[in-house]
Amino acid sequence: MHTNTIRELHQLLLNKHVSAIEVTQYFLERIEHYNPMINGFISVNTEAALQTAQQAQALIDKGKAHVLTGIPVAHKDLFCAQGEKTSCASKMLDNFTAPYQATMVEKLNACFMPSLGKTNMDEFAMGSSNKTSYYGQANNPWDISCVPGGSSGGAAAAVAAGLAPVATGSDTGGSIRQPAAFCGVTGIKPTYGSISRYGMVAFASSLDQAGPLTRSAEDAAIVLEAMVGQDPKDATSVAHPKPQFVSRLEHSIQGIKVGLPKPYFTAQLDSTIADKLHQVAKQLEKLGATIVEIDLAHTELAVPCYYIIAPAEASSNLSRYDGVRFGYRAANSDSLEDLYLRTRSEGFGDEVKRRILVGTYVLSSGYYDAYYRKAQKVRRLIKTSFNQALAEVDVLLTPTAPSIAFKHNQINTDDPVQMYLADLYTIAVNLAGLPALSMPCGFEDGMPVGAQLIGNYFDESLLLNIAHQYQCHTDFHLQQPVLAEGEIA
Amino acid sequence: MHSFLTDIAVTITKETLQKIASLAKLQLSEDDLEKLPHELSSIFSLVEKISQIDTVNVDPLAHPLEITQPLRADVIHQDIDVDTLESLAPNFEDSLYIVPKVID
Repeated sequence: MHTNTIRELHQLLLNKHVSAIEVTQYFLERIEHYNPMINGFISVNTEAALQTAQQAQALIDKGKAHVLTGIPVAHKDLFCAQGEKTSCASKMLDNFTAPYQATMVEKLNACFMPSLGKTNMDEFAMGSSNKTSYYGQANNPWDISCVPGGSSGGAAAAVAAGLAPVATGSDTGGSIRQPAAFCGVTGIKPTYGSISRYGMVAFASSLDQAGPLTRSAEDAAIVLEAMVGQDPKDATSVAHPKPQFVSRLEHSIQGIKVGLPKPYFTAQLDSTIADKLHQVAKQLEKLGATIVEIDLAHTELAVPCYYIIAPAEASSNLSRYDGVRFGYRAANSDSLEDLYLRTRSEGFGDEVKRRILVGTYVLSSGYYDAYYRKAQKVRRLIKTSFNQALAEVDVLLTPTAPSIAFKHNQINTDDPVQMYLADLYTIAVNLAGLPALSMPCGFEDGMPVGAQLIGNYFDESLLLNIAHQYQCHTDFHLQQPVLAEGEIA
Repeated sequence: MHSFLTDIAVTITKETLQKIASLAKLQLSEDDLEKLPHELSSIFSLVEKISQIDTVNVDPLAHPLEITQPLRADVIHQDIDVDTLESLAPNFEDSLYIVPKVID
């Protein structure tokens, strides 16, 4: 059952081959069995999940089921789910129970998707390895000595290991797409503003965007359709002009123009990954697409620009954690200043502190113009370059990450810049606010490789259409890690 | 990747670090004071690269879609009750958050 697509599970439910309660129980059992190995979940909500499953079954019995009714989901632990622990994988929020529902969670609850639990992540979504989680690293189901990627590493690992058919994630600089690539699943970050950020713990507000991680592009289209929508509670959210992602899946991609940006295919890219990407291009060509190499100016500026804007916004967003109203509070403080200092120093991990320091510096008096304002100008140049490229072609095809998942022990914690540079293919998309997805496109040394498709604003339906057509003619997305093989007796 | 930007070495001193930490309300350990100047210097050497780009006639971009934020009716509503706020607070009495004494 854990290898079934959403539509297959939906059919099983409609035909009464299984009940919604059995489906949820099945995934809860898999979590119990495999999570100690994967550490993909921070918390598991057995009781609440089964309760929703019961309600889902009642709807199915009445013939009123949505395609997602009774399909379990795992939310990244930065989405507030009312009454449930929402930790952001930080000691700072270890004791925090969300007092309200994130809009995105509310929308999926309205479809009666049982929420299995909350997934592991890098602390406050800051990282590309899941290593910075207060609850310990999540492991890659394809090789548990490797990272699952980050920051939505628990989400990607959970879907890859068949612990949940669907997981939600958030993507500020690649946090859905890079773990999707590392774990061999499909993940999409929609256009900025498509999904409400209300109730999603803020990291960098002008970059953050939620999205699904799934077993296929078709599944991603189904879930994404339920997630998008303008929300009065998030003033940056927008009404999506083309939210019919599913209806386009079966369209032919004949005549679609696919661009390979030259600056993404250089000697810096692992040669096997480059080969895999060229094979994707060939496959798309067979399906009728035209492939062209194109220029993409300002590519080199994305990482430096991002590492000003994201920490600046983070330092402002994270100033709310002061030990007064909620979350961690240091014991026995003798003054308010002491309370702030000790709460924040004891509550935040090293990477979060590092980014708060960088952000505080670039926003401080005398440096604002040279760093933050300058970065906002460079951000416009990056956006303009994408606009020019996407005026020539319909989509861009790039690698998602410059390497396959690396070993836990290969992380050099003394040199954060090495890790930042590994985000080079995903980060520019967030700066421009464009939609992008990652899909499995092969294996290197037994580990999955991801291909990224970047589209124009609100053109998610085209990205999902291309990915679905690709997946109809390839089987990389159907491969299972050995660890998660076999049904539980 | 073709590189048209040169590396610019930036040094963050211990004194600068202490000043930023105090602005960020973070207390640094001896160990932090030893290693963070190197780590931050390396991060700033990376981000400093953008200083080489001419942006004289470029407007800053704050919101990727450049939309105007919508206005809404100014109506008072309460989504979270006081009891819930109390249950989340480390120290709460008579609808007030309790903190160490600020004024003697």
